[in-house]
Amino acid sequence: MSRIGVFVCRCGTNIAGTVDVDAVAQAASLMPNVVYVDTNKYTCSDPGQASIAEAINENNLDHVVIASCSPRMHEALFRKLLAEKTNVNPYQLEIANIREQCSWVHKDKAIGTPKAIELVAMAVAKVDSNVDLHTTQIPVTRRALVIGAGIAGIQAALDIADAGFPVTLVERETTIGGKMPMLDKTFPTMDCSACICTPKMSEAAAHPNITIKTLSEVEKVEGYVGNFDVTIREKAKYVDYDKCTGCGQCEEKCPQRKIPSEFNQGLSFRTAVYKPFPQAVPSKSTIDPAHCRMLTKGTCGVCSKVCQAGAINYDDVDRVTTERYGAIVVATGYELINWANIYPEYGGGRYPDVISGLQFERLVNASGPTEGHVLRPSDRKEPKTVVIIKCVGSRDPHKGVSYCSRACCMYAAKHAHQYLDKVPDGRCYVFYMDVRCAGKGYDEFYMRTLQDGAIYLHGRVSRIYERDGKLVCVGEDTLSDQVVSVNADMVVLETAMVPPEGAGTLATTVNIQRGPEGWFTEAHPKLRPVETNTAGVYLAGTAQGPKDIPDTVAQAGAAASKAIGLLCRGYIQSNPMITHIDTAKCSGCGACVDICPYGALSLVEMTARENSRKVTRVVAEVNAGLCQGCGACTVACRPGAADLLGFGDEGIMQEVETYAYR
Amino acid sequence: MSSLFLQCRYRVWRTGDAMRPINLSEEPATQAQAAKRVCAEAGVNPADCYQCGKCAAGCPVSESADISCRQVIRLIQLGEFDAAVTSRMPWLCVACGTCLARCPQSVDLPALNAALCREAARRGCAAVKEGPLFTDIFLDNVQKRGVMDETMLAARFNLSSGHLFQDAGGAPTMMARGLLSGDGYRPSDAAEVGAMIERLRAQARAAGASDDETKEAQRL
Repeated sequence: MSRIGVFVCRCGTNIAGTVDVDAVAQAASLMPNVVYVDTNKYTCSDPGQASIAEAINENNLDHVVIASCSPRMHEALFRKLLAEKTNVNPYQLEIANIREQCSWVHKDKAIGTPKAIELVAMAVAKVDSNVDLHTTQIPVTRRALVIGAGIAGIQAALDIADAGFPVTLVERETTIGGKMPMLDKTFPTMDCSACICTPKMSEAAAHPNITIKTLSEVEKVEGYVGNFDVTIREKAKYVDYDKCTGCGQCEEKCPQRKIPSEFNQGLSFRTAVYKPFPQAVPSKSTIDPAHCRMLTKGTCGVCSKVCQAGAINYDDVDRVTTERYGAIVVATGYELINWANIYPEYGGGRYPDVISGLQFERLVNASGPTEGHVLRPSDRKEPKTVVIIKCVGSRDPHKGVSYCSRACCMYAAKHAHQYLDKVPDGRCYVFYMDVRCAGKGYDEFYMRTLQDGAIYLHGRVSRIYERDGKLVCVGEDTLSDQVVSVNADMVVLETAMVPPEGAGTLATTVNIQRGPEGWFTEAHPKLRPVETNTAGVYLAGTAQGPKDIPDTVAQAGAAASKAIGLLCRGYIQSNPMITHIDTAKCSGCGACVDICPYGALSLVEMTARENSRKVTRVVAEVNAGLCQGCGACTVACRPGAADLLGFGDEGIMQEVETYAYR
Repeated sequence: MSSLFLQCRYRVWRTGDAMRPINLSEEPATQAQAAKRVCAEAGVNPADCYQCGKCAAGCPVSESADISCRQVIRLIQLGEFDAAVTSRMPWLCVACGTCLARCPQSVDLPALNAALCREAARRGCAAVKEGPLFTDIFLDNVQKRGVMDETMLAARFNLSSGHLFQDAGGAPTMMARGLLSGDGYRPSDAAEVGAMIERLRAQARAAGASDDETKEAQRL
């Protein structure tokens, strides 16, 4: 016979206001196997906890029901109490939630009290069938993987590496750095973007704890928090990085010279063997197999001839490696929306002088294709009137995305400021819907741009068309209630940030969720902003949603600190409330494997002795590290072999029966 | 309803026909130059205004105006200076200073309105045609007596403008209360006040005469 103790909490008047707590206690004392009942004004307080421990020890209780608030609130607290102050197993505890789902939702005791009694009766029935459960410690592999080497990934990698843990930094492009080195200046302080980013890139490359893998992609992630087995494909570079000195001879001689440069946003050309920009890290050349004559047609080999280090290797192949990591930081960044496909009214890409904000960054950059002179792409003339259009793609659910891309207001102001600075007799018109400059020194920056002479027009541009060599932008200035048009020489579109290509595949690979817009979802928008719903996987930078550089760097630091916390601890406490497979009942159908959202179940062969014969059967097996105890498999299992420890079928049925037959 | 009416009136007034688009790139540079000069005269930087509308919302004459005081400065920002000069708003402004007192950016709208009135008078294109006349009579009045004499002011204005009986209905009540005194009060330093006004008017005349741009604008 079990000895059950029931403790009913008044929670001040929170519960006692609409539940007759003494009546609940009186009813509980008559329930089967209940040998002790007590009430308390605040059960969670120190004296409240002490009185529970004392009652348990004095009355030799072996099961405990606490009727109080939601288990989300204090279950962990009371479990700790049982573990530390009593001999009762912490999982011999049931919480009857008579506050959030009872006293708070009812107005009078006539409803609240009977409901509370029913809830307590169900908890008493269930706790009787609870079994002792024990947590175990799973060791953590003290290495981290950072996916994506933009400023977020670099910062996270540096922070983790500085804490003393080895980090692998995976980047799918040929250089680390992401978008930041492409930018000219950073708002609001106007520091040179490359000047503050490239030292970080070099620092990452030189850090003894960081291994950089460029042209690499994560192919497969197996395992669970603390022990992820990650398969990385490092694509063929056709250049032996150990031999390459980065001298650039190959680039000078390469006959393929008309490939649009990704780094310069198509405003200049690169060669087939190339380094995207001089400060690229690693500072080595790579052959682009799609454009190399030797690799596409089999005739050329110039780079191989001029390379004094003998680093060119046309027979290079992809390398696939699998390594184990304790934590993963996803920092895959963003890309700009392909506006040309969705905005035919802005020319749809027909006008070379309608450019994106990132192209403008390259145009004003001293190391860009025009060496920092603002010259429009079509005829390399200085534009005397520039129109900047904000929210191109952003806040446009019909054609683009519904969200605000957050950084554009500021960089639009920055572009206007830079243009007026470089072309003092120029005119700059900014079409805007709102000016959102929430940040330190941000609004001051915008106001300065107004003083520079930028004219802000409140409205979206409706159409851009060409007339007499000018790009006529027609929009409404709703502030003066006028349809206005501007004859522009160049138009800059501040386009929306969207998740990069491949984000969906990566989400499946790493097993993290994405929101409706495609950004990776954090575990809690406010309280767990860098964690994901998969333990051990953290988010940094724009992979989680549009943000500017300061926020990205801050979030990267936060993600790193979470990863460092996990790696420092060295082990994880397993959750014992996971699925248990009764292999005697399991038919090996695999329904549980299909339904498991965490990939925790797999089918294995098992040898068993049946009727004194050895038989081999296929049965399901649970990975204790991956199982999150959601219970989906227990519902899917037809023979009833899968059962959730702590929420066993028997206990649940007891609850239901108690409720139904009381 | 009334705001809608005003809006429509504004549009019709602005462009002659409703919603004719304007091309900001095709406005003549003389507008920008004139705007710069007048704003400097008023000590106002139009770029300071971020169009929050706090001025217009508190303006006591907005009911009678064609465009709001916010829109006056908006037109200047857009380079539509001629439209600002020819609007009624500057003439209706009573310089109460509510807008300036509340403006987060300390834009001195009363000063700007006054400068716009002067510019309109110079160009001879005052939207309120009695405006310059009233100003002249008012200044004459104060210059002569050193203090405003309502009776004389009203009488002269009504005779000159042809609005013979404007505000005449209030005269008996005002007289009964001794507000239209006619006792010929002159402050002791009236001569000094008169000299001061004369000096300023001479200055303004000289500035107007030397201003070729303004003449050009008047000619146009």
